[in-house]
Amino acid sequence: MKLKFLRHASEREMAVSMTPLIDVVFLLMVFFLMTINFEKPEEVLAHRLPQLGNEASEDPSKDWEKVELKLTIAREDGQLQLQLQERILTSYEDLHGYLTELPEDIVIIVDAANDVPYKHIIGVYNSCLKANKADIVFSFAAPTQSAIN
Amino acid sequence: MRAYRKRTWARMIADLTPLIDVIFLIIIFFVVLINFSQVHVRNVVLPNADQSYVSSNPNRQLVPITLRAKDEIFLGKDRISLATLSDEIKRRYPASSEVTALLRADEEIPYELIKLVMTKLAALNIDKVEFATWEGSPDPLIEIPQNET
Repeated sequence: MKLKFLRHASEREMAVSMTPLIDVVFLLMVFFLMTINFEKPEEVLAHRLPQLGNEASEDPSKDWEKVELKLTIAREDGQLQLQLQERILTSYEDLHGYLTELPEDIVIIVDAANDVPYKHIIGVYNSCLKANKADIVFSFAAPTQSAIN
Repeated sequence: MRAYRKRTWARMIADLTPLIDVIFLIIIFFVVLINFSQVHVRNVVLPNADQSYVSSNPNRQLVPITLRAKDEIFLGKDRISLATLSDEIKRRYPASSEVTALLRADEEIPYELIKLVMTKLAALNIDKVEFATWEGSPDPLIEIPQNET
């Protein structure tokens, strides 16, 4: 009788308890689900700014062809309008198509209205890069006093 | 009777092993997740660009400027005002000509503010600028109304 009882006890000790493992797994799962964050990876578009005060030192002998690119907000319907020289463009595809026809060493001056959303500045810059136009200059017209304050 | 009492006492001892397991697991998780990035301020809706790329030089010295609104400007993780931006950059990055400004601006920010920040950077002889973007096609110039099917 005594021997039988001992064998029973040792059998019970050998059993693996899964409860703590399941506890831990559920805890971690809940933790991960609550802290998960699908953050998009950030990329960059590189740009070189002109140094202020260097405009005068620019070599006038360089016969650079300049194309002025204007971004304006149409007041009537609130829609954006892209003006490239005399042409009015309504999409980045049009802009890209036009830019690819121009020579590669052209300088593009992006002159946007103050209230143009930044995403469209990047859209224009992106189209220029797509059309292999690397010489892009942002015009620095004086900002209004309200922006400074 | 005596043996029975002993067994109940033994069952009351708390097993600390799963607790220690969980604590160690959480510690390892946080250690792995520590972000040594120079960019601290998140939650900005960046513009999309398909010509953007991941910078090939992760060791470049960055001046991370985050613009969420006109009155929400961050230099690194510190909120600053537009008026003190130049002084703060000068103070933190004395060799300003060697640094690269990383502009993390919300896509809806008016260009006027971007222009102002770029003017300040140019005045500090910081000519290398990177516009932070998300990979994707830029938003169309002409916005389609939500109720249009």
